[in-house]
Amino acid sequence: MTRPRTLWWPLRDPHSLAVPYALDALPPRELARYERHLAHCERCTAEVRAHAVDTLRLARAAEVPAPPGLRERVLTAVRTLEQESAGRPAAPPAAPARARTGTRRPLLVPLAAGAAVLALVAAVLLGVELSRTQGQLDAGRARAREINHVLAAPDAAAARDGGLSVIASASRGGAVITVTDLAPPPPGRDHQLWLMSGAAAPRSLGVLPDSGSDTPFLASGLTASASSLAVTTEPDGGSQRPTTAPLVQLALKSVGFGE
Amino acid sequence: MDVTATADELLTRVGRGDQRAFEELYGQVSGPVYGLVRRVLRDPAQSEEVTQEVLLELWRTAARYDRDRGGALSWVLTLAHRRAVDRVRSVRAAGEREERVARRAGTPAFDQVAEEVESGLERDWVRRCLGRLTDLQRQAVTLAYYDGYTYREVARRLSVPLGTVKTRMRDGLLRLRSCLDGASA
Repeated sequence: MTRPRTLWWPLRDPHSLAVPYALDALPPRELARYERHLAHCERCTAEVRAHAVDTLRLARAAEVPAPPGLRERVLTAVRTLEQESAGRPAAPPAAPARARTGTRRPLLVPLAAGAAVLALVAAVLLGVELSRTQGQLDAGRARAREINHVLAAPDAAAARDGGLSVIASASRGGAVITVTDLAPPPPGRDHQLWLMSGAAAPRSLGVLPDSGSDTPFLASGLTASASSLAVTTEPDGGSQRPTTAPLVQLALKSVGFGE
Repeated sequence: MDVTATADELLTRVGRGDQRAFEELYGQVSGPVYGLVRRVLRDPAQSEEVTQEVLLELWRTAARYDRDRGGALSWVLTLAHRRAVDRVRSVRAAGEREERVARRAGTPAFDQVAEEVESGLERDWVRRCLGRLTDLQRQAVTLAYYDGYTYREVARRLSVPLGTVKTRMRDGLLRLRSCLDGASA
C-alpha cells in the first residue's frame, strides 16, 4: 500500500454504521471504508439487508405521479442508449478520439461512431467509471455534456413520427435524433438526414450509414427557425440539396421550434 | 390470474434488451422514483432531471439485476435515493443560495402533492407510524432519508452526540417496522 495511512484508519465502531448506511447517510469517506468492512462482515450484511424493508417503505410513502412529459422523453432516449451486458461494463468504444480544436463546432454534428459513442456517453453521463484512455474520456465527456445538456433541459421535449425520433430543447438549441425502421436504400443510394428551416435551404445533418438502424445524431446550435427534420434517398455519399421527396418527415413545432 | 407482469419479471426482461418490458416497467416505477427523488430534492425541475438519469441508468444496467437478491422496486429505489442524495449534497455544497431558491420554489407544490397521496393506505400508515416515534427518532430518520443529510450533519443539526444519533436512527427504524407490521397484520 502506498496510500497515506490516514485514508485507511479503521472505522472505530463499524457495527453501528449499518443504519446510517441503509439510510444513505454516511459521508463519502466513511462510506468507502464501511463498504470494505461490509464485504467481510456477515452480521452487517444481514442487518443492512433487514433495513432494506424499512427504507423501501419510507421510499414508497413519497410516491407521486411522474410529470407527463417524462415518459416519452425517457422512452425515446432509451432507444438511443446501449445496455451494458451482464457482469461487465459496456464494451470499450471503437470511437476514435476526435481532434479537439478551439474552433466553433459546426452547426450540426452527427455522432461519428454511433452506438459505440453513445454507450460511452451513457456511461459517462451516468457517472459510471470505466477505464479508458484520457483521449476517449475527454471526447466522451464532451459529448456526454452536450447530450445531457439537451436531455436535462427543463423544456426538453420528445417527438416521434415513423422512424424519426427527436428529443430537443429550444432553450439550449440542441436535439438528439434517432432514425430507425427505414427500409435500406437501393444499391448506389444513401439515406440522408436534413434540417429544414422555413424558407432557408435545407441543411444536411449527415448521411446514414448503410448498416442502418438506431443511428443517433447530435444537433447543436439550433435556432427557433428550425421547422422540421426529413430523410430522403440520395445518390451514394449524399447530395448538396434534397433531390427526392422525403421518406419521412417530422415537424419540430411540438418540441418548441418552428416559430 | 394476474395479467400484469411483476416489476421483478419486467426488470429481468429489460436486462435482455426488451424495450416493451421497459415501457411497462416505467409505468410501475416512475411514480415511486419521481416521488422519492422529489421528496429529497424538492425542486421539481431538478427532480425530473434526476429521475430521468435514474431511469436511463435502470435501462442501461438492468442486466446486473439479480432477482434472487431482492425485489426490482427496492433495487430501483435504492438507485434513485442514492442519486437524489448525491444531487442534494452537491447542491448544498454549491451554496446555500441555490438551495433556498429551490426550496422556495418547491415547497408549495410539494405540500399540494402531499395531499394527493393521502389516499394510499400504506403511505398513510407510514406517515402515521412515523408520528408514533419520539421526536428525536423521527427527526434522525427523516433528516437522513428524506433530506439527504449525513448522520454527522444530523447530529450537528439536532445538537446530539454521534452515538446518540446512530442509536435513534436504529430505534426509529425498528419502531417504524413493528408499527407497520402490526398495521398490516
